[in-house]
Amino acid sequence: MKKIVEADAELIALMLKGDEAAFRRFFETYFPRLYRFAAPRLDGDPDAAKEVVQATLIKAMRNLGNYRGEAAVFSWLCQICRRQIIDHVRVHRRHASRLALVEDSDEMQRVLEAIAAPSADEPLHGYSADETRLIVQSVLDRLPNRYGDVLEWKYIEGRSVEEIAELLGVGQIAVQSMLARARVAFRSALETVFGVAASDLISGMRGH
Amino acid sequence: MNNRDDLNSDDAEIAAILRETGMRAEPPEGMVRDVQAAVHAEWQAVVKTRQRRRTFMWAAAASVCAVVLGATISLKVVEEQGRPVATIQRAEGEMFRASDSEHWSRIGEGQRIGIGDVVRSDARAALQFDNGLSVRIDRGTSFSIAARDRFALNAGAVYVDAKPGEPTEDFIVATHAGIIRHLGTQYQARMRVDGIEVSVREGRVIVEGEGTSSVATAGERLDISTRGSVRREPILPSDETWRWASEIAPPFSIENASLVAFLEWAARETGRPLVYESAQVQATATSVTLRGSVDGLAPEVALSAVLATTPLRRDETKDDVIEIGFASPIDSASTRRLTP
Repeated sequence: MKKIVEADAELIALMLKGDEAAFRRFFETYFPRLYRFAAPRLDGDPDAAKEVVQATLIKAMRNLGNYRGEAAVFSWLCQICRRQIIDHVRVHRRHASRLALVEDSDEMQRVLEAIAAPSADEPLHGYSADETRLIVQSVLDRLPNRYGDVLEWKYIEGRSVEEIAELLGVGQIAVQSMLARARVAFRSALETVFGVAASDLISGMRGH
Repeated sequence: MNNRDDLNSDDAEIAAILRETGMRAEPPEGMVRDVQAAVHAEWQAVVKTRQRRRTFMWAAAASVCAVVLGATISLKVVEEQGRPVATIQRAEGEMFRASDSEHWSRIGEGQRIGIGDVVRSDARAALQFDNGLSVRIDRGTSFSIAARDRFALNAGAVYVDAKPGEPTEDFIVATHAGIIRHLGTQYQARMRVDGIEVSVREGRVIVEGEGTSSVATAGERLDISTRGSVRREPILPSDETWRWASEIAPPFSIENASLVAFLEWAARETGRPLVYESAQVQATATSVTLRGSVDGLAPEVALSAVLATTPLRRDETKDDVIEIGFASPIDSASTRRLTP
């Protein structure tokens, strides 16, 4: 967790200095994640999600100087986003029934926050297939350094290391090493959240 | 390229979970661009304000060493700083002002803003500058007032309306892709991450970038990148792009105003030419005096509401013009006082 926060604090420091590349990295990393965070909480309404996420990121920009690196940037953004969602629902009186997702339970939030620092947290059981998929996607969103993206590109889209290297603008060795770290982080996060090994999880998902 | 065959057992397990889960949803491409432009502009505004503050701190420290020499100059700067130059005529929601970018205070209709103020607005708003210009800002806009004739657009969009026939001083809108000067006009400038869009509804504007200068006339939109490339395309004065500015138009006071004046206002706000079916219709419009209020109504809605109280009607089959005729063929052209 410490490493993620340090990297995040460094990214924010670069942004405060006006570094365009840092801004791009920030936006490309967090905009899709926040969109996925907001959309299901707003009944999948893309316009509402756009409004809320834009307001969240604008608020975050205005408060960049106040980011103290006490939590990962994504957790900080999610906190702002939750408040924006509540405000949006208050004004529009819609989506109220969908505000509470399985991810919003205190227990799940605690476990998701702990992804980067696996500990003896109580694992979670008993979710439906859809809920399990949603949680796995949330896990991918909370992995550091675009690990979620490279895992998807490699294992769902079947992209080669060369293609991923091109997408990220880095060398192939760096991608191989990133993929190895991403796999470890993903396995570890799944075990933290579900309390079972990856092999058991896949049979559970297929069994539902 | 699919390289699934290369997967070892470790990979295969991860791949199976991910395929079972499916790809995470991606936001639509157009949405990414819109949001990125808004957030980037806000980020730039934050960075610039911090840099300005740092420069100011250095300048303040330096001035200690040259206090006597600088006294006269400083007094002049202080005198200008904070001098009110515009009034918020209308605001649809929350607006905030800071003179140091950290201590934001809420502002609203009727309040004055001055030189050195940084303003951000979550809502649309209309400002009346003391030099006669009407300036409207779209949602999510951030700007600062550098001088009584200089407005720095940091994010969002601005619509400048210099009414024809009313003398206005030079007014400059500064952006990251160039500065915009107008020659009696209605135009809007919208910030993007990598440039600006300048659309001209009436009159003419000049956009000056680094070593480049482009002129846009009524019915043209310039797409200017920060790298200096310019794309030009036509835009109708009644294009949807103008709608937001029309919706936040400063209220037109109809009390004791002639119907003609109101129709001219509505035509200008909606970007449609005003046409009378006959000289008799025009004479009737000139003779009608209005009473009441259309405050809070968008020009299109106000037009329908007002005409409904007069012997005149708009030909609804013609969308590209506001064509006015008699509601009934035998209607009189007598002067009436009306209350919508």
